[in-house]
Amino acid sequence: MTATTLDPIDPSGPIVPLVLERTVSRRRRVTNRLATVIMSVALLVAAIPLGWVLWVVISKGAGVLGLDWFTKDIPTNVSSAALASKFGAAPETVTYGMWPAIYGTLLITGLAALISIPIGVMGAVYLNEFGKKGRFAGVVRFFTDVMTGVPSVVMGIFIYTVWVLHFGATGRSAIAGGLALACLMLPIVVRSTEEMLRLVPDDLRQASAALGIPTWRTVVTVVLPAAAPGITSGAMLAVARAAGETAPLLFTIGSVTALHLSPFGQNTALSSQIFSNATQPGGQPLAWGAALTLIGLVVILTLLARLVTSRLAVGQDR
Amino acid sequence: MTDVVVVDEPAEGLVRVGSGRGARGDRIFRGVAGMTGILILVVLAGIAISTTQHAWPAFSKVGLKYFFTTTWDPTHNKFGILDMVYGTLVVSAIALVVAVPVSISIALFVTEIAPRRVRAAVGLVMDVLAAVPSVVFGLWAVLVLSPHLRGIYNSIARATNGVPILGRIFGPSLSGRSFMTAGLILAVMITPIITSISREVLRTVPSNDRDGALALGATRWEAIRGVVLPHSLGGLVGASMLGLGRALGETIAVALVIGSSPQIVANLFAQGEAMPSIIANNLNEASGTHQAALIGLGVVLFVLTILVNIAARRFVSVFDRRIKGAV
Amino acid sequence: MKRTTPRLAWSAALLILSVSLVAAACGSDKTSSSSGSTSTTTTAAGGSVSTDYSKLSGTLNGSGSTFQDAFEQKALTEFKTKASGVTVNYTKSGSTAGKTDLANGVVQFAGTDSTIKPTDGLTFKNGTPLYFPIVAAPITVSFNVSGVKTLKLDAATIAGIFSTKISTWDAPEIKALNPTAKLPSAPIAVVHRSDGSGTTSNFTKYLTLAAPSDWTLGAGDTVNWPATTQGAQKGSGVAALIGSTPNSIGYTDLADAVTANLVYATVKNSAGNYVKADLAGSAAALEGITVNADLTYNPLNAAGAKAYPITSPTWIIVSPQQTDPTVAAALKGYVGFILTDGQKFANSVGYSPISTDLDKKAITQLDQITS
Repeated sequence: MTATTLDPIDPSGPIVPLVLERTVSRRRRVTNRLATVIMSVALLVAAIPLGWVLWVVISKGAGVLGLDWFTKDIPTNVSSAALASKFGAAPETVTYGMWPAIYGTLLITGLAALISIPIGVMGAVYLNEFGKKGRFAGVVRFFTDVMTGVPSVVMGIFIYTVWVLHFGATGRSAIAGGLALACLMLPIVVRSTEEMLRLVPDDLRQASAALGIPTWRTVVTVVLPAAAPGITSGAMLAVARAAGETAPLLFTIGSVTALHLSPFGQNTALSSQIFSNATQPGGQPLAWGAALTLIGLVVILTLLARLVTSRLAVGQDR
Repeated sequence: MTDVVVVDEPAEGLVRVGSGRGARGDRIFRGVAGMTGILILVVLAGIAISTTQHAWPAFSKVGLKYFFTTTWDPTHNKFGILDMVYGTLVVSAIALVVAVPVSISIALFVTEIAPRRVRAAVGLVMDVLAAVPSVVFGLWAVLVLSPHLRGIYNSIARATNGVPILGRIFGPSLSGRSFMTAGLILAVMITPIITSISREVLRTVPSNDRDGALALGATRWEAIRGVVLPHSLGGLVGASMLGLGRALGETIAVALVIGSSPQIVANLFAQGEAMPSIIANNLNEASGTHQAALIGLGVVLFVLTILVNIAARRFVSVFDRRIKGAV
Repeated sequence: MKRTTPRLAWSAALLILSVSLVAAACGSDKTSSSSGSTSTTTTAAGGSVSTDYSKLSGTLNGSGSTFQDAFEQKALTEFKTKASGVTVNYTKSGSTAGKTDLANGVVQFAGTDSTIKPTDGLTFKNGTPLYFPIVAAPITVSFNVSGVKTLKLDAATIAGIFSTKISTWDAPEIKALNPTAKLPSAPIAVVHRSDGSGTTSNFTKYLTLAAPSDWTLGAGDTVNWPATTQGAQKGSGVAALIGSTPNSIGYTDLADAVTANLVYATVKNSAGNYVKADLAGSAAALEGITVNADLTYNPLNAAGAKAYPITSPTWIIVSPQQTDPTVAAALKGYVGFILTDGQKFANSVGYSPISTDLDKKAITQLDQITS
């Protein structure tokens, strides 16, 4: 399926004589050159903002990172420290910490993963091993695809109406946020797992059946382990995506800054901290630091996912 | 494994064992797996039902004025969403105008021009772009990009002052937060999805057709324009629509840079408000009809994005079949 | 195939183990910090509260006024050092949201700069909320005009600007009050609160009191602002928007204006003097106020030569009937702390402490919180 180019310079393509210069009119040559340049430069147009963002986040966020950042509470005296000097009071030190939000992100995404991954894998198992090309499976596949397009804020509103408004004061919690993120992750996990299951060669299933092993045992002991690296990697990418989401958490986890270990009761997360500190005077160091931490988390998860795929994948061509 | 196995059809996929414990295990397992499939449908239905139910007080109290007026005044229970619809549409349009040419150019570059190593680099850039959380883009856009852009907007406004249409579209910018800034940041965020689907679509062009054009003496660009693009047009439209769907629902980055002032103006450099961002900024503190009206906006957003997504997938599915099996 | 499963399992186990180790290590920090023991505090004013802060425990959630947010953040930080067993969270969501949250039982206390009105449509199940005045501060009329550092305004001109009847900076009304200022001929960008705000309520109330013929948009937590004005969420949002928008003007509390490095106008008070928006002005406005039985009062457009006319009060409101004795004790401890130690550091964050008399009355009212 790889496109073969007839570019004379591409060593992997066939040998083509350099006839263009002598037989093509100048206008056509210029148009061709212009188009080539535009297509080659297009990547820069996308890469420049990316580079700029990463540069700014790293340079502004690195300053606050340190041991305190990962262990201490989120400071509540950011504004009063800024005000102290202006109103002639003794200067205060602000210890920039973000541990409660780091814990919150891990807890909430962990809960979301715990809920969505088993359900998602089972859903994909149904679609690929049992439903296959059936009508019901087709319907489920269609609506799963549709669900990937639902905005994350709508997932947040959904859990807000179903959980938060229902439970009132105690509704806002890490578990509510986890449910919202789980709704987000579920279709992604189903799709990527289905892809991985499809890649497992049928030979394995047939060999297992030939030995008299029931379907369910084949799935559990042969198919799933074979697809496990791909499934894990897909799940990790879904978790990385969920960790960065803010909108579903806005209405579901509350807005405290203190550490809260339990999944019940209000909590905070890195993405929420970035959002709330973005326009808060004096909050910029916290916002940049949290942004760098969040990107770091996403990068670690993505790298782990790639590592799992490349080291442990069986029977997949790269 | 001491049961007798009867194989009654040629092995294609899994063969169901006809007797014994295995069959019951299969039925239970299949039932459980099937239920998770139903769960997905239940969740989707739940979203539709629950949000509509909570938005109903606003629909019934305000009636059709909800959809067709522009006054959004919570104090006096006036809720007209047109300002927000306008904002969403304008911002998404700007995003598409910028992102679609760039994404398709990148996809063309990767499939037609780039050698293998560069292809991997492009893939890496797109992956990283997709992985950066939208709140980080929003943070950079509001603290770094908007102040920068304000000066540029005002220069453009001065330059086009008095020009018939351009003068209206490019007016003065008060703070850099505007429809245009939100549209630009959205363009950056939807580029990966449009690019990756466009890549898949472009790969389905039969090499015979393209090679034929080149053999007849076409330049590379002429081959692209005459063979590749017409062939993939439907799929590229589908890819763009998927990008549109993403742009319609993007909340956080837009909330930070659109300016939070609901209004319908021609000036692209003016502040505005979009559907998801007004929900993000107000739902937590809203109650009563105000809360219902905001949830109603969520319903409108839900319906809109689903329709766009279904239409997009229709366009792309034709090509999906070619990629996945029937080559 | 078999070799992948043990490897995956080991990596997963290692990951879970390390995360829980880190969580445990950090969690244990919480209990080892020491705190002060019995504290009997005496206010500078003479009232006293005797509280064993170390015995208090629980979590107090509060929300509401953004006007008092800077003070709340300082108070809860200081309170934590005294009563380490109590965690206080305050979310600045606007006075309207705070009052609603208290009515719905979502929070244990709310901050508000405006009183609860029948038209708010709120029902409080645990008794009519008690108003505890905590501090007061100036509402600044902040602006951002390059080259202009001081501006004199009176109520009529402010009313004209914010209702957009006066639309450019070089309008004759403004020029008349500031003959030497280099006012540009640019349009005025008016910034106001877009969320339900006690600051809006007090600002518009002042305009109705001081310029009734010029201000026709009414008073309240939300007001129907003209279409050409811009809204921002929370006081900090208004301050940030003024700071980033040239030729803008808006109203916000002193702490937010100072944090955003804004300059603000001197306003003509009812005695005819132009007074700066500083703590001396708000302290002067607090002298001689009439306090109602429920401890609400109105320092707006106060009499007094040195009074800053747009001084805003702010209260913590609490439901008198508490269901949980621990929460009730923690509440009394926190509010009592604000009414004693809190009065001492109010100035350092941009607020004026309340008068000794009012403070005494508020401390006495603490006993009405029952569980």
